Amino acid sequence: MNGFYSGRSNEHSTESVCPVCLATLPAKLMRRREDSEEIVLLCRVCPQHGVFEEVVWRGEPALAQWHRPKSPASNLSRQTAAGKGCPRDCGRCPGHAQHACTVLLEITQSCNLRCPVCFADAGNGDPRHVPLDLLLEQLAWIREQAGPVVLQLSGGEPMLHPRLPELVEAACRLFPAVQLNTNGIALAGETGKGAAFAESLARTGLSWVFLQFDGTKDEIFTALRGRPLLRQKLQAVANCKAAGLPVVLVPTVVRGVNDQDLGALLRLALSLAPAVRGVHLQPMTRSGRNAFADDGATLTLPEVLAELCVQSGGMVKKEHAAPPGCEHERCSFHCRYFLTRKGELVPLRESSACCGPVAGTADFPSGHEADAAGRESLGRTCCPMPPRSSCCAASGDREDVERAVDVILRSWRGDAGSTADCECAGLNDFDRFIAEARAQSFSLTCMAFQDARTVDLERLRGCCVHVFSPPARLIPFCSYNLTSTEGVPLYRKKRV
Amino acid sequence: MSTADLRDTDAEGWVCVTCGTALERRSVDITYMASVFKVELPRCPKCGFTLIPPELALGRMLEAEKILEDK
Repeated sequence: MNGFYSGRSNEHSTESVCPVCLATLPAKLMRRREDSEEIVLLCRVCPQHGVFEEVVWRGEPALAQWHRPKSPASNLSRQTAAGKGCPRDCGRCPGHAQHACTVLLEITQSCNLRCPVCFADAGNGDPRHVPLDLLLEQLAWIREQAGPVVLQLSGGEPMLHPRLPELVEAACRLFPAVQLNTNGIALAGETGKGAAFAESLARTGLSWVFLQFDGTKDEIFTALRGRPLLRQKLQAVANCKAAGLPVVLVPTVVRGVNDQDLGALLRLALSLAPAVRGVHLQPMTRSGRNAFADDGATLTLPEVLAELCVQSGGMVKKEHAAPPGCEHERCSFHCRYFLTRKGELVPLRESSACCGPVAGTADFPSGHEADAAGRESLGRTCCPMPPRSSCCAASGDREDVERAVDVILRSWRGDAGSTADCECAGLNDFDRFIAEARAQSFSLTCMAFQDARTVDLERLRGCCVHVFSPPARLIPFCSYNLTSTEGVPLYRKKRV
Repeated sequence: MSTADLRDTDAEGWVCVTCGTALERRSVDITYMASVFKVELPRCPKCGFTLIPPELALGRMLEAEKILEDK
């Protein structure tokens, strides 16, 4: 095992960029203690712009307990050649080590908000929509190159595209899941327009709505989106629920703005389940329109998890969180739960539960017993930690990514609108378990995107979230959005 | 915990090759990743050998396994 993870070494060599000029630089992850907490710094020196140290991990679980190695992907289609070096060859180049499980397609530059934190720098009055004919060609190319991935339609605000329903229908014929990344304003439209829009999207086969939803107070929306939006967001969820469209709430998390509202947001999401399938937290990055400030507002993964544990009153525990099997281990955590009828979260598994020998067993809480059995029952008493590094390692091969896509589908599409049938007479435990898992699962996930200050090229090469870049590139999300602290993007076209 | 019947699994005609004993329908605990599923399956009353039919292994059991497994 790498000495950094085993604790034998406090340094790990990687590569990064200069935040000012984006030049590729050798870098080190350095473990330190600060105020009784363990922190990990990403350190590098630019000959022209000096020393840069950025905290990329703070607190528990420590990185030594957060290891999920992967072998580089084989049979990965490459669209670009190596030449200028990482991250300038993206598209994907021979150095990339992971398949895509999700591909983003930006269908418009138009937006009905102008969020101060927009990494896409959208909503600058650019009215362009990508024509449907061209989008259909792009869909076919993505399917051919990336395989059966989750397709995310994004923008700008994709709901402003006039041909959206036709596009979603076409995408659903090609991909196992189509996710709409939206601010939800169109779904909350007055005089029934929002409800009608939700119904028309449900008819297209759209898998779920990835709904920008930053908190439970209007002042949070005003800070991050420029105006109060809580009422509209709740209306959008209600309209999706009525239409049978699953919803995932997606907050941008900013220290000092909504990091103390995460518990309230989780409780709100649970009250809206099972129509709301989960919360997908995204700590703010400094990219796009938001590239300039450096005020320590970005939270690391353990900090988000710690806030969730405290603010949920113990409902969320650190042991529930597991490192990802698809994207790089330092890029996200996920907690998967059953939601009982009393509104309690029961972990489907804990991160410590590996595939090793079972030290004890517990019954699956079936039917009416589910509430009473609650926490004492599910997936708990497994082996303590270590075997994960071998038995849970992902190879990065196509079948592992397909499994990851399958997990995403089960988590976020589920069986929205229905509740688990507790009148299960005649069903065996497998039937009962499957029915409840479909209807009552709830996911709590957090994705730590990278920016020019935090980008670690080792993580970038392990990325499985790719953006389609015309005419024929698949660029890792954080590379595509990388923007220097002077506002110069690496890949996105500069818009004034 | 109730034990339900997996009606499509018939014990009749199956004999344990080790004991030479006819299999009987019995309640069986199947453990996977620390969750226990009770089902009735053909089982040898002497040695405990249990027949898991392909339709269960490749159907509901596989689906439950996928739910419990991690991304």
